[in-house]
Amino acid sequence: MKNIHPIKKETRKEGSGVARGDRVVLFILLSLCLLGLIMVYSASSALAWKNYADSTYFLKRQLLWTLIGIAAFFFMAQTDYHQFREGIIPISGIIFTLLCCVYFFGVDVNGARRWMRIGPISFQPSEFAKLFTVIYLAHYIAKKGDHLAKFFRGLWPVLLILGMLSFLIWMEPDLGTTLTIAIMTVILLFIGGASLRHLAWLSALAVPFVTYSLIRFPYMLQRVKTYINPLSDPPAKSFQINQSYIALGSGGTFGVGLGEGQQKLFFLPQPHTDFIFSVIGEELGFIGTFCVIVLFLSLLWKGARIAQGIEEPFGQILAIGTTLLIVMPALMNMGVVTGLLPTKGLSLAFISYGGSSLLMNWAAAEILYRVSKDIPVRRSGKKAKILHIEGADS
Amino acid sequence: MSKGPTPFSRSAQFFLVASVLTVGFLFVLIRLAVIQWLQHGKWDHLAKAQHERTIPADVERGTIYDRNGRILAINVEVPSLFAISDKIKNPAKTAKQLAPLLNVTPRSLIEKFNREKDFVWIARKIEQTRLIAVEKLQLPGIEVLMESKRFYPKRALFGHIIGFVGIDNNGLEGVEHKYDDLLKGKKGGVVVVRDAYGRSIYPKGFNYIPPSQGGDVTLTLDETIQYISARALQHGVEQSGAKAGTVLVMNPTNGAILSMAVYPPFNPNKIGLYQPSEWRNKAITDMYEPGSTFKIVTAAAALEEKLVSPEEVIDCENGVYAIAGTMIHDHTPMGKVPFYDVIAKSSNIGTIKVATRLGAEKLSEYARSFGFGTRRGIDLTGESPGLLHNVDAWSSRSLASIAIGQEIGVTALQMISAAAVIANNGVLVTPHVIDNHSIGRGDLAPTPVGEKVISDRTVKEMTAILERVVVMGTGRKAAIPGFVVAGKTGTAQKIDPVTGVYSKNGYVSSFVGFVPANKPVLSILVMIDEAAGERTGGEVAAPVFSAIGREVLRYLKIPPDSSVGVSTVTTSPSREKGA
Repeated sequence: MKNIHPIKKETRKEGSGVARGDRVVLFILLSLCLLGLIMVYSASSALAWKNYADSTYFLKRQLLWTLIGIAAFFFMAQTDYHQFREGIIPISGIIFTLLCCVYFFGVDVNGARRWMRIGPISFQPSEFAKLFTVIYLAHYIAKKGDHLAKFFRGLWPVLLILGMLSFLIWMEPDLGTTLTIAIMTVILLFIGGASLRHLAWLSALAVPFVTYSLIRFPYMLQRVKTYINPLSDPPAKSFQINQSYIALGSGGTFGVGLGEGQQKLFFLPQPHTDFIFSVIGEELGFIGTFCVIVLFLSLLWKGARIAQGIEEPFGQILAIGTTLLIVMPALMNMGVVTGLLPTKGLSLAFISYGGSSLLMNWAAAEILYRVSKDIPVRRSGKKAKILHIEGADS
Repeated sequence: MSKGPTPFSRSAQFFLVASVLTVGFLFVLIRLAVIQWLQHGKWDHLAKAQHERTIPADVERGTIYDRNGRILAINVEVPSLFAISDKIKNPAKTAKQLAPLLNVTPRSLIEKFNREKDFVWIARKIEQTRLIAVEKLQLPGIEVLMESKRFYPKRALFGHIIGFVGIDNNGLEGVEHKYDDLLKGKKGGVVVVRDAYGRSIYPKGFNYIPPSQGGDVTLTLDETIQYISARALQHGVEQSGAKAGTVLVMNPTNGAILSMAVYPPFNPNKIGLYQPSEWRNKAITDMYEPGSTFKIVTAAAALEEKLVSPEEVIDCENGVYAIAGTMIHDHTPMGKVPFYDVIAKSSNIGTIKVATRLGAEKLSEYARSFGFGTRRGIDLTGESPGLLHNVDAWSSRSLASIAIGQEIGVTALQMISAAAVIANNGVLVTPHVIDNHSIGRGDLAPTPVGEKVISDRTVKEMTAILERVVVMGTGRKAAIPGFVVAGKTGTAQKIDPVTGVYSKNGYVSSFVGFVPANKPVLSILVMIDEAAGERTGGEVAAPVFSAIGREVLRYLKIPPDSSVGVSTVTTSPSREKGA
């Protein structure tokens, strides 16, 4: 509670009596963020010392991005999210340009071009493409309404736009983000009222695509093989997941103590990004992992409740979309770390180290928080009337 | 529920999507419970295995002393070579230069240099001369560490008893093995945390386990007696053209082994030069058919059961007698002689006749109560229990055979223990090589209280008979001037291990006895294996007994018995019974 105290004041101030955002969401976000800063420092200090002779190298950067994220959060909280709808065409242009740029001018890391570097700042355009997908779908669903159930009039244009977007990301290659965008699209279209039959066909279309990807990028096939049968594989390949098990398992109920973990000493791959959940499990035990899961579950249901409370489609889809954008990759990350899913580089929202993802998550959170302000006030059984219906029948 | 949700009530869809994800989180939660609770022990064990390393703190292995405090096993500092891979500039060249000095191939060295470790042994515990040669090369990355190496200053003298240790100073044979836990002490060390590259990061807390100094061990053996025994044994083996032999000298009253000599000798400082069969302590591991020495048991049993008296005249059938369908021969044909001469002159026929009165059950019972068929419980590893079949498995011939020491396998240790029963007023003691009191470790190997096997009367009768063996029987060459010796000779054909029948040439010649007969201080067993030419126990083993007894008695300052003449042949051998 202490953490949110100053923000609470600010919320009141800027809310100025009209509407107040969801304070539970704020609490969850700040809890995750604080835990993230602590765990990033704990998990990365050895690596930072080894690579940069500065144990706070990653912590300092994560702190900077967190401050930028929070600042942007409160700055954007002043604005009206409906403005996204007016600016959707320029926004689309920027995103597509960035994705094209990264394909041609991106920084090559391990055979993949996912990073753009502008001066001292490097970022992943695909992170912002995820957020764009949610905004675009919210806009589109709100615009088309009932027509979405029809294929050519409703579904086809949005599939074309997002298909192109996904293709650009797939080309980087970044199959994880492509898959995230595809799944998000299907879920949001389902919520938006698209025909289940169409979505089923669309999902079936993914099968040859995934198959082709596995053939084109053999390392992915190897990961799937390792997942299906860990014994079939040389020890090095299943090494990652075993190290994750050792971290989680040795943590037990209460953990070995904050900062006392050993697995981050180069046993775990990427202890501060993809496998930070293992470090939490080792140092804080089942208590720690349980708390993280409870936080994400609370955020999920809070997001669903906000979406439910909003009575116009754009806000609804934005709320559930941004919630899923934060929660779904987190769930997949936990699935990978606990060996339920094949190894895939996904970050744990607000906790994993990484500027682009942190910024994207803060932006998504801001939209969710901003939307929550528009929930009609219900008090003592009285149900308030609809406040905004903009765009509902356009 | 699929069709046409109204734009304003998407509650069902939100609920469905959130529920599906919630189920996903529940899966993760269950998985975490399995890994973090149910499998916690397993993963924790693996974690410790890869995180912690104990850097051992040096422990000095304990010293082994003889009963007079002379050092039999001690530690010396010797150089060992190790490599620090990173520091080696030219592995191929280094290996090429180093290999000939260490008698290894350059390839095996390169393989060691290439290991992903900062420390790898190259050659351990090498000679000083090799070290000097290696140091002259001044190879970067090749370093020297002084290590503690076991050294046996008495070389081969105690080889079979003390045994030896492995390269890491862990006991592998003999006393070194049996008392390894006591000698090696507790390994101490600092537990350090290491990272995935195997680098030690920092000590974990104050996890220092202080090493405890290895304990010292004092043997009951006496270097002088061991030396006398070994020298006499070697002389006896060489004189008789035999291939091997064993001598045991024991204090009959408490079972303390004073010497245990096995020929051919084995030098534990040079293990590499020997085959495992050569370092085996044959006095306890190997069994043989005792032959006539076993008549001690048969005679004692018959006297104890009052089935015969020393004076009773037994017809020895002039050397040929059929029993159970087999012809029995005596080496020296005799007619009707008193029972004491049956034993003194070692008549098989007379002994078997008396044994027949005893019966199989009783003979087996006495053999077991004299310690045959089971391990004597000496505090050394590898003791054999010998071979004594259960009475049910005996054939019609077995009684006759066993009565004269055939069809039974005994160890030298069992035989000397059995003879010591007569010397120790009928009590069977447990032989041992460690002096528990001197190291204040009475708990270590508690010596069981001996069991009274035969009565004082039988002891007296048997002592007289065994004295007679030396005075005018088969064991006259065992006599020691100035002392009354009691003992028994034995000459046994060996069973050919290939054909399973008695061999023509292989004989075990032995003599077992004690001295002085009236107040024994020494039990001595001499066993000569496969003597060439003259091969009776009386001719081959008895002189060795005499030589050892004479010198050891003098060394122990046991005063000669004034009533005994200096001559080896006397006419009044026994106090109890006249000739």
